[in-house]
Amino acid sequence: MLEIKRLKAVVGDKEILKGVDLTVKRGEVHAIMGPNGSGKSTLAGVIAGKPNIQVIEGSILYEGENLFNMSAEERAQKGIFLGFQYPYEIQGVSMLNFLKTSINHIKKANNSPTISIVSLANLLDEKRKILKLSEDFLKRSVNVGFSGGEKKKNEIYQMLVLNPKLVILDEIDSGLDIDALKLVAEALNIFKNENNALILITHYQRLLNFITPNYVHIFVNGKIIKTGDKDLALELEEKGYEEILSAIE
Amino acid sequence: MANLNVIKDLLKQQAKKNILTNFLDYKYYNCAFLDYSYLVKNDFEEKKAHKYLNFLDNKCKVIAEKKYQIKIDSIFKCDIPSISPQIFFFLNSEFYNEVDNVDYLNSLNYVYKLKSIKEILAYDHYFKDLEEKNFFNKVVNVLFHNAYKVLINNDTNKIREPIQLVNLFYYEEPLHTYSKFIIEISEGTNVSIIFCAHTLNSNKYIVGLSLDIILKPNSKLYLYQMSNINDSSLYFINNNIYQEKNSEVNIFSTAINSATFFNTMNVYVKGENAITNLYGLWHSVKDQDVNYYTSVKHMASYTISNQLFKGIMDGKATGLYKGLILIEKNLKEVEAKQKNQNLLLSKESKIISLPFLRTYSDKVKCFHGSATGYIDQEALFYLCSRGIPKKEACFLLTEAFANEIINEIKISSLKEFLANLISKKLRGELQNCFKCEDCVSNL
Repeated sequence: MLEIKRLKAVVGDKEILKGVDLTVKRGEVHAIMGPNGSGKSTLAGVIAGKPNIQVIEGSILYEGENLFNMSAEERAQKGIFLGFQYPYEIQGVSMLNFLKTSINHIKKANNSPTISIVSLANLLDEKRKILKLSEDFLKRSVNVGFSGGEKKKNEIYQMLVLNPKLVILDEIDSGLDIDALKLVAEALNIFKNENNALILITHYQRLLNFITPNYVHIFVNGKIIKTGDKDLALELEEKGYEEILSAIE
Repeated sequence: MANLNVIKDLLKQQAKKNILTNFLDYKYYNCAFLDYSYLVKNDFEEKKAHKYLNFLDNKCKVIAEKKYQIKIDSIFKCDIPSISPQIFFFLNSEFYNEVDNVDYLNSLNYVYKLKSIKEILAYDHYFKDLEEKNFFNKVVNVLFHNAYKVLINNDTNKIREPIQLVNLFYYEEPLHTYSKFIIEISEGTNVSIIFCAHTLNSNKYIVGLSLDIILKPNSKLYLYQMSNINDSSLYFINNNIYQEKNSEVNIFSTAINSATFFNTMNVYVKGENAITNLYGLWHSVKDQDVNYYTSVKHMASYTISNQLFKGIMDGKATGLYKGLILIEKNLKEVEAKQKNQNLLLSKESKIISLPFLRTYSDKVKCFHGSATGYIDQEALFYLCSRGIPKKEACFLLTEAFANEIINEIKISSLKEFLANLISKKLRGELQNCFKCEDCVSNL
């Protein structure tokens, strides 16, 4: 589904990604763990098409297509979804209008008819209940006045509603209390199937207690330095980055 | 710019006519034309004067000589359905009372033509220092050829619906037209007024209107001002508002289809516990020029004012916001807010924002600010990352910017109409003066 090869990228004058290789197949869950400032969010941004990141080397293929030929909206229309670490607040755009516009543009790009009002209402309601979001949630402006936890739940809500193929969640667990974390994990387990894939960027093992990754990657200084199974996350939690890094060196 | 002598002659001619028809006080006549600089002497008013003089030429008629015997319905249809059961039409500033289904005598609201300067001067004392400060006030005071009184009576036994004052402009030649409305809101009355101005063909018009509004104690006014003025024309409107105790005024001015537009709001908050809310929203494109001038003068304690003006500018559009909060001496518990925000959709568009605050009392709470910028790129990426095309995402963010003001509108059909109008204009689905061809063929 996703094939990243020798990816190098800069933000301004600074090289952030220094040769990333990563392959993600349908049905897989990948966890990327790494210290602050190692470039995890930049990698997520490159996949989603964030404009201020310049790729200087390497390639990314998504379902066999060169991702660099696609704008951010085209990537989303083809099924890539980024759950933001810091979701933006958009005063004056209601969640309902935002999601309706989003769904219809994705459908249009995929030559599907636009969603009827009844189907939209049912879809939004069904997914809202999974995350126990309040009934007035859809009337509120996007992320405006939301608590940190609500913002993160909103990212997951959008994911459930838009039903993408490849999901990258950038520190979705930060700012969530234990109950909210369980809800988010439950939602991810409902969402996960053989036709989609998840990349979870996280600092902590705790999310991985609820959703089991097929692969855990340690990301340091702009590249993946070690890949293992779910036990690697436990080892990391126990020993910390320094000890694992010195063992590699 | 037009030749000054030509303009002087033109204005003098009109002023003479106004003297003869009892419409001009000699004090205006003398100071305006013996000393021409009277009109343009104030530095802050220079832009207005310059713009006005640029629009003038000797081909413009000052008073429409031809009176059209036409049914309003055949040239104009209001775009907002069921907005008001009481509509008063003015064609080229003449009161057009040949409208069916309006029973003026049994109405809660009376609109009638004022016949002499004496009647008009009866309200002059409310706004006595204005003529020295406002260029367009001076122009209307010298040149107006029609004046109307709008009296909103208090009758708590009847349900009060919004009233609509529709100013239509249709002429076969270029035309100046200046008129004055004196609006008196009786004690304890709560009313909504929709005040519109439409040009109905592509001729050049100079439309000057003054609204002198007096709010009696415990009265409340929602005034919605809308315009659809063609690209060749200049439209200016002066709002002079006098508030007595416990009164509340809410003005919503929009300039979505106005090529060269000046709106001035001077508010005298004279009575205690009075509340003033001023809102302005404009969207200008091409080389359109929209200008808002506000002045809220707090003259009593326990008064609250709030000003919010938002401009959206595209193409080579220019804009100006100059706002003033003035708090007089020895007042207490005054709260005054003033905010101007502008969204530039092109690199060539320009805005001048001048928020001013002058307070001569200590026990007051004031806030004023101004912010101008382009579309927020991070918000744009957020929307695009959900599959929304960049252009559509820009529209959504622009609509969201306007919504802060639209959401304050209390009439739901008007709110819906304005949101739709902005949405259509952003998407290029609306031409300025889009009805011209239809109207011309109907005449």
